Formats: sequence, structure tokens, C-alpha cells
Amino acid sequence: MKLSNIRNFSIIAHIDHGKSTLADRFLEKTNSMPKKKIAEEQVLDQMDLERERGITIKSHPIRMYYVLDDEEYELHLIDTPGHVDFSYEVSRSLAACEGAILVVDATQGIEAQTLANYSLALENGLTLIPVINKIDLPGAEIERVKKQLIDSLGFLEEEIILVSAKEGIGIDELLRAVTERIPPPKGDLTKNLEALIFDAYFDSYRGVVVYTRVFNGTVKKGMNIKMMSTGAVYEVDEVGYFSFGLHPTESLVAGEVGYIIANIKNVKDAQIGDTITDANSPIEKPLPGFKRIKPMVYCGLFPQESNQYEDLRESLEKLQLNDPALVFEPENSEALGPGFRCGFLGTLHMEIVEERLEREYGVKLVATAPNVVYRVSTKDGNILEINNPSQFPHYSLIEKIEEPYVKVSIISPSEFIGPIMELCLGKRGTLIEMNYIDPMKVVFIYELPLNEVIFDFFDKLKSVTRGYASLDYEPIGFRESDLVRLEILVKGETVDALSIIVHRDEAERRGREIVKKLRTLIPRQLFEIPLQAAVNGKVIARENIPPLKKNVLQKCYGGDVTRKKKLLEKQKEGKKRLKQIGQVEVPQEAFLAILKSD
Amino acid sequence: MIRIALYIHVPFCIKKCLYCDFYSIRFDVSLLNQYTLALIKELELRLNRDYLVKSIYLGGGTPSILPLENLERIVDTIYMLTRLEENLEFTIEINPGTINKEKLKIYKDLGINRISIGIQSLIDDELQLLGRIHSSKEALEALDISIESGFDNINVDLIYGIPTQTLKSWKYTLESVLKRNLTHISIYSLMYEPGTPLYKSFIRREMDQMPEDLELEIFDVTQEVLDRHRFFWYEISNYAKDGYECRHNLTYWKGEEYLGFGPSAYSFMRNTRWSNTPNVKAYIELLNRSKNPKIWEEKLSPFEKAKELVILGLRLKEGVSLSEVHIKTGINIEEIFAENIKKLISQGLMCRKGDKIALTTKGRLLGNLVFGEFL
Repeated sequence: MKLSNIRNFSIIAHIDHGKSTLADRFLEKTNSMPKKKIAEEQVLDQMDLERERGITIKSHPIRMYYVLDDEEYELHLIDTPGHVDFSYEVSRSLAACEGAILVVDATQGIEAQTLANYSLALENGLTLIPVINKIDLPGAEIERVKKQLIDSLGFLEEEIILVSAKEGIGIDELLRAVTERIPPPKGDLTKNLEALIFDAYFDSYRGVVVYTRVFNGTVKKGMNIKMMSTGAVYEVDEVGYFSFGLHPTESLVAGEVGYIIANIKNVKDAQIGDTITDANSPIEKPLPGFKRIKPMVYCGLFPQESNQYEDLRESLEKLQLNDPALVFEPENSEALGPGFRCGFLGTLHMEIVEERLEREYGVKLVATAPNVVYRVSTKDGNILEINNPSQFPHYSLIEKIEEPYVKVSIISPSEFIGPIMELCLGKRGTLIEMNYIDPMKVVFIYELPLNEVIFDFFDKLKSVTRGYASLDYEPIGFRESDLVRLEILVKGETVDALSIIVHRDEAERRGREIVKKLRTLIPRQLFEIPLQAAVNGKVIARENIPPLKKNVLQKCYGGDVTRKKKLLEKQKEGKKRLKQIGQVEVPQEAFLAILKSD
Repeated sequence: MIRIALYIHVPFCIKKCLYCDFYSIRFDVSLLNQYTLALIKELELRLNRDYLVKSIYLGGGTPSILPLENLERIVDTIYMLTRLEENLEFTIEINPGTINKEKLKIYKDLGINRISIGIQSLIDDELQLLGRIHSSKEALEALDISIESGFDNINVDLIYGIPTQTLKSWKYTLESVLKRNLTHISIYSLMYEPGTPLYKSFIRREMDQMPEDLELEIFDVTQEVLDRHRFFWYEISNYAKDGYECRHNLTYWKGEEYLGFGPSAYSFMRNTRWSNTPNVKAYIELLNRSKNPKIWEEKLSPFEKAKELVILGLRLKEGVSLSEVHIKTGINIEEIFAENIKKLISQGLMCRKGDKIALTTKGRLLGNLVFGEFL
């Protein structure tokens, strides 16, 4: 295919604005859909989790052929996630494209991730096609959304394409716009190979499957390629493109998106963002690659059964290849034994990783409550970045503590201005800006501690705005705060996995809440269990779990024996799921008790 | 000759109590007659003179609603088919509101020598809350006429932990029955069994459980009062005057053999436990065609049998002899559960008396923690 007939593009949108359904229509229109898949919806979301939650987690590349005015085009579509936690996936996909379709829901208008993805696409120098989707719905406000796109994002009225992905309206016009407006890739087939790795996964038989965009030159079977960051050389086994699975081809040429398999067993040699070149005639400088993205949220993941530690490590390594935003390091908890401290982009990312580990890798987990990274300056002049509350230095050694802040954009109908401002104030937020997108819709810019945002901010925001507000955030660095470590003591012993960092003003309230919650979660045992919350060695809240005094089957006669034995067995099963901490048996839910505030 | 205990299940009640999860149904005369015929058929099919019966227990349900002629036919059949031990213990459960002097006289004539009365409480509000069909007056009357009819071995069932109960009302109930001439008393704390109306109203928060502190206070007072009246604790929920422990129920706790007849009745013989269909209509239908009404059975391995002997034996004050378990099953519990035994003793839940293990006073209320170690 000649370069002028190739188009590489993404679909970007706020969550639920209809990206994946639009992708389905493209596949149908271009006859790219395998027959048996036609009845399914959102066919690109192949992960069980994606289908269940109705969200896209991974980027999905696919090649389609489209004939327009007797000219055949090769379209590479990369379907991308919408949630803020996965913006890293989006930015990687965008680096492989020349253009993007920006989808806005006609009933919702511009939302926070519309803005975020819009900026991301502009930074990548992409050509954008604005689309208003769901125009068939009774609640569609086409004129209003048009005006938002024109006034807030600077599009021209005639650029905007009206679509109903569900009903198949406007799809032809949109495909025409893709071929006409998005520029073909630039690149030179005759130059030395220069290809960007934008994603990868591990196949246990064939090694790493590298997702790549070729910028210059050609890659084909038998060729020796070099990974520029490690210098490792591999012989190419197979190249091809994506279309519901892998389709081998002769070669991948400049401008094309596809995959490379080269029997790469060491996952470190296939780093996402790295450049692949020809080992025999390498280029001099790698492509810019990606900003290394730092995890925002950490939690401890421990195997439920300690003999699954190695399984957990292997699973994390394999998952990391496909999800480079995931980081982990070994952690040894006094309470929970050996496990890993893991870093994530956000709490949704964390949940997804936990679920994937349990489902795809069969590892049963105990997860501790998430926290952010703190910067602690000690009195002897050291600066420590700490991602685990149990690693905090003794309070007497601390000079100051800084915590990460984020710039939060919230878009909401203007009737909720009051409740939103109240919520942000309660979360230690500072209002930076407030603008109207149109008379009915307002965008706030706040600065908030990240810790407050990951805690339960989104749930609260949704509830005070009846689900109408949307949210996006980006890190803006560390700020000093009056923070303390809240320790939880169970029967006089500090439980490392239960300590959290909180603002001093919040410590007492949170301490009381947590011990109260733990009181209901930890089953009564033979002895009294005092539960205490302490800050800097001072107890600020206390509860007691009274000893268990009565637990006996009253009646047991002839016919009962079997039934009663079953009851006893059930009681025993329940006990197995408890973690022994000192003398006390603690259920796993207790470690998440510190998550939610009531 | 095989020495056994014999149980007859009478699965009929005038009205089901709100806390009861045992099998029973409403009845009419024709169903009672069909049941009686089927039961007699089952006795004929399964009983013979190789058995030596040491105890008979007519339980329910409400055996005292059986018409006298039905009862007579059942008892006669048993007497005809099998051998009886000389000092046979023969119990019938009766419910206040279903009994009179005439019935009691016939019971006595039939050879029944032990009466077990479901009194539960002597406070009308409490009886109503439990869904009992009788008043406190009728309950005391049932007890009094049993004594008047010449029964000298009488058990009374009582329940504590009823939501409206107080320490005072409980003492009244307990002391009122103890003023009469009893030999045995079974005391249960009210259980909220899943599926019962009581459980449902608890879940719907229409009533609260008795506060635990009060329940424990009642428990303590009960021991004291019973001690004063020379009733001795011998099983988790059972107390008796010296020599009046229920021999029939001891069969269960000692893991000995028994045969049960009637719908949903269980039997245990040669290390196998089995049960009859609980469905009365199915039971009648099967026996009409001379078919075995058994629907379920389990065979205990020596290890399972040994564990069961321990769990059941621990319910008894005297505990269980580990060397006896060893002899009966070939299983050395001492060795296999050495760690568990050590732990339970150090927790103060269990103690050793020679080669026996038994619950401590503390362990009596926490029996499940002890039993659970031997699963």
C-alpha cells in the first residue's frame, strides 16, 4: 500500500460517549468484522473485565480496508480507553497516529475527559475530527453541543459531523472525513528502520508480541532488529497486522501499524516507548518515546496463601509488560507477610490490576488501602519519597511532610455550583478558576491534595451532582501539609498494614471512624481486644471488642448430628479466611476498612 | 442380640411454633390414620426379635395429639415385634393444650414411664411471642396432672433468651416448675434458626435479641438455682436429679446405635447413619407399597466415627474417654489432635480427667470452639 493511502487514527472521548460502538460501525462498514462476532457489541473490548464493566481498558489496534471513489485505503484504528486512569494508554496510542476522532455525546456535551483528551491530541500534533454522537436520542441537544465545540474548543461549524453510532447514521460521511482530512503518514521506505513500540504483551509460546508503528524503513521476517534502549538484537520471526487476532504479512513498511514477534523472552528488552532499528544499519538516535509516567497511588498486594508469593511475582511481571504504568517492589509486612508494594495510575487502575491478577493469573489477594507518595524531609537534612505509611520515619525525626497535589477540572451543570464548592472545600481544595462553557455548564479548576481525590472524591462528586459532573486531574507537584501518621493498634500492637497518613485536623475523626468500623469487622475472640488509634504515640480513639462468651450448639439429638457437623464445618471454613496478627485473628475486609469514610 | 434405642417421630402439630425449624405439618384425622398404618408397616419391616430395646422415645412434632387408639396400635406393635429390656425407659413428649388425665392414664397403662413436657415459659407474653398454642396456666396444669397420674420421671423443657424475658420472669418460670416433683430439665437458649418466622422478624428488626449480658446472667442464676434443687448438669442443655439422666438421649451422645421410625427419622447402626423421607405423603406412599422410606445415608469411616465420638462425647459433663475411642475405632485421637488438645487446654476451654477429655465451665458456653478443633 502506498503511503498516501494509509491513515492511522484513534477515537478519543469521555467515558461512555460511544467510542467502542462507533468502532463497531467502522468494522461493519469496512467488512472487517468476522461473521460470528456481528451479534456482539463493542467487539474490540475482548477482555472479560472490559465486557463486564462496559469500559475499554487497553488500546486495541485494528486494520481495515476501505474503498472510496475507486481508491482503496488502509485504515489503522486504535480504540482507546476513556477513564482518566488510562490516559497513559491514550497518549501512547496517539503517538502512533496522525489524526483522531473526538467524540462528544449529544446528550452530555463536553466533559472533563473530552477536554483532557483534546489537549493530549493537540500536544501530539494530531488532526482532529469533531463528532457529535447519539443524535438519535430524545435528549440530544445538538445545537448546544455544537456551540460548545465551537466556543470552547475552537472548531468550525462545518467541521462537525453528526453521528448516531447506534443507528449507523453519519458513518459514511465520517469515514470520508477520515480519508480526506487526516493526513497520510510521512516516512521513507528506503531509510533505515525506525519503529516505535507503543504496546506489548507476553505470549507464553512465542515470547513478546510487540505493537509497533513504523516511521521509516521496512521490517520483515528474518531481519535482525535491535532494541535501542538495551542494545539487544533479535531475529524477526513474524510481522503482521491486527484484525481480530494476528495476521502475518510479508513486511511492515513506513507509515504502518502492526506487530513484530522475534522470540523475545526477556520482557525487559521490549520496553514500551523504545525504538526498534535495523541491527545491521542502525539509526543514530531513538524516537522521543514516552514520558515515563509515575504512579500516583500505591497499595500493598499480598498473596492470601503465603506459598503463592512466587506466583504473584511472576503474574505481576507479565502484567507489567502489557501495562507499563504498573510498578511494584517486594514488601514485607509484619502483619501480612511477604508481598509487593504496587504503584498505579489511579484507583480504577488499581482495581483493574487486582481483578486481572485474580482472574487471569488465579492469585488470591489481600490488598491494603491505597495511598499516595509522600515527600518527607528529616531533621538531618534527608529527603525521602515514601509510598508506604509503615515506612514513615519516627515523628520526632520529621522536619516537614509534603504531599502530591493535582489540578482537578470538574465540568458540571451550573445548578450544582454550590454543592461542588462545598465538597472541594471539605477536601482541602483551592479554587483556581471557574468558567462557563455555556450558560448551563460550568468548568471548575481546583487544586486538591491527590490523597483527597483518590479517597472517595469521585463518588461524592457524583452523588452531590446526581451523576452529572465529570472529573479529570493532572499532577502539579508536591506541597507541604500538616500531615500525621495515624496508627492502629490491635491488642496493644501496631498493625503496619492498617496505618494511614492523614491531615492533622482529620486525624481524630478518622481514627474514631476506623476503630469503630474495625470493631464490627473483627470477630470476637476468647479475650478482650482493645482497638486504638494513635497519632505520634498518643491514643486519640479507642474501642473494645468484648470477649466471646457464648457459642455452642444447644440441641443435638439423633437426627441432628449430621446437620450440626455441617454447621461446625461452616464456622471453621470462615475462620480459615482470617489472618493471624499476634494473638488476634483479623479478616481481610479489615484492611480495607480504612478506605471509606462514612 | 443388638441393644438399641428406638425413636418414633410424630411429625404433626396443631400450629408450628415461631422458633421451630424441626419437621412437622398440620394434620387431619385421615392423614393421622394413614400415618399410623404406614408407621406400623415400617416397624414390621424393620424390627425383629434380634433387637433388645433399652429405650423408646416418642418425639415430635406433638406425639400427644395422636388419638389413643392409634398410639395403642403403635405401642402394641413394638411390644409384639421385639424384645424389651427389663428397666425400659419409655418417654413421650407432650404439649400443654393437647393433654388430659384420660390420655395420661392410658399412657401409663401402655408402659410409658417418662413424660417430657414442652412448657418453655410460664409467662403468657413470652409464650405468645414464641407462638405456643397454650397459656401458662395450661402449661402448669399439664405438669400437675402428669404428677397426679402417677408419673415419677418427668422432664420439662424451658427456653431462655426470649426478647421480652427478664431475670425476674425467668426465675419465676424456673422456680415454679422446680416446686413440682420433677426429675429432669432441659434448658435451651432461644436460637434464631434461618427460615423460621422468628428469624425473619429478627432480620426485619421487628425484635431484638436478648442482650448478651442478661443472657449470661440468666445462665449463671440458672446454675445456682438448679444446684440448690439438686439438679445436676450432665449435657450442654440438660440437667437431672441423680440417676435420672435421659438414657435414650445418652445413646446419641455416646455414639451408640439407634433406630428411628417415621418421616424424617434418623437411624444409626453399624457405623452408618441414614434418614427417612421427611415428606409425610411420600412416606405413606412408599410404605403402602412396602418400600423402604430411606432417602439418605452416610457411612462413617473409622476416623470420622472417632471424631464424632469426641464431638458428641464432649457435650457430656463426664467427657469422653480417648482410650475407649481408640478401642472402638482404632484411631488415636490423642496423637492426631495433640496440638489441638494442647491449645484448648491452654485456652481454658477443655480439661483432662485421667484418660478423658471434657469441657471446662468456660468451655460449656463455647463448645463450638472446642468441637470445631475435632472436625
